[in-house]
Amino acid sequence: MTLGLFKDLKNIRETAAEAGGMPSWKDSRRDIHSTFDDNGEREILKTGIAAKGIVRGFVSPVPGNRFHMQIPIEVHPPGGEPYTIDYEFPTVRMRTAITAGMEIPLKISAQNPQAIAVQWDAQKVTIAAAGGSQAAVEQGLAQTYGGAANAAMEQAMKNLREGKPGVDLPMTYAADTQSRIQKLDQLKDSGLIDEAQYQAKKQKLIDEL
Amino acid sequence: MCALSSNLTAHFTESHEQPDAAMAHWRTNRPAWLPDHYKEIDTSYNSVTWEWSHVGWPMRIIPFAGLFGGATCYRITALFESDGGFGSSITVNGQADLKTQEAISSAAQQYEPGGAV
Repeated sequence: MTLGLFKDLKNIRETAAEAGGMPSWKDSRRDIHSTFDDNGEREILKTGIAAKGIVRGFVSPVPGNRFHMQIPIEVHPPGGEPYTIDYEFPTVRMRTAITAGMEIPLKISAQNPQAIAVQWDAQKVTIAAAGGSQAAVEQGLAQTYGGAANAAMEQAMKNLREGKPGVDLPMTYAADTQSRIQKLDQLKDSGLIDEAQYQAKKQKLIDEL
Repeated sequence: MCALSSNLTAHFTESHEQPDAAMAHWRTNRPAWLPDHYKEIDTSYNSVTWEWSHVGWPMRIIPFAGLFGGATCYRITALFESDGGFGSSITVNGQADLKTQEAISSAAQQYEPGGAV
């Protein structure tokens, strides 16, 4: 147990060093506040109006707040017109997958329609009904982008299972030939590949045209 | 403050009720497998959640132990969806005590200990 504690302290020090050093007491207090500030979501969950949301993008970090995330959601209030908001939430509240195309249960603040809270328990059962996180994410992507994204993901997963070294993405996802040849030039100039490898790869790219 | 237990997923059907009606029915006439001490804590547009916050007797006899946790939260959510016809497909997901898990397991059409999430 003592060794475990020292190992944890060492990991804290090294992780902090990677992120620019240990925070001051003042910064630590701010970080703790930011981590556990619920943005008023508990109150919205108690008193808000139940509604449906459709996720219109992907989770991304909030600039200037490393403990919160954001995601665009189209809110469908009961009996009202849909509207889109950037839903910002504390990362610690995220309890299951949420990504493009998913229909999600949420509550809208009775005072401010721009303030919402995702009902994570209800989202968990939605994902269970879909057959798990992977299936739910694939269904959401298929609804948003049609078959292309789903086909790319299925191919990538198949390659991974079969231990293939690369992922054969459809041509629409591949970089164009000119930029790939330029990349090849850089590899040759930096000495990472020799002349024979360069010529073979270049010919292969030209043959694909 | 409480710790959540492990997950389960179970599937039920209500062949003669649409999802809205089935959800209203489950809220007013709780399923037989759901003990009374599970209280309804939340509803969404297509689901209902029940919770039982259980404190074991060792934690009850320690003064102020509740301030530092020690309770186990059992939380079950039921999702009501159309079965594509005139009935409902109901998915139950969450955490339950052992006795309730056994009751759900014997009542459900499908039961997955550990759950799909």
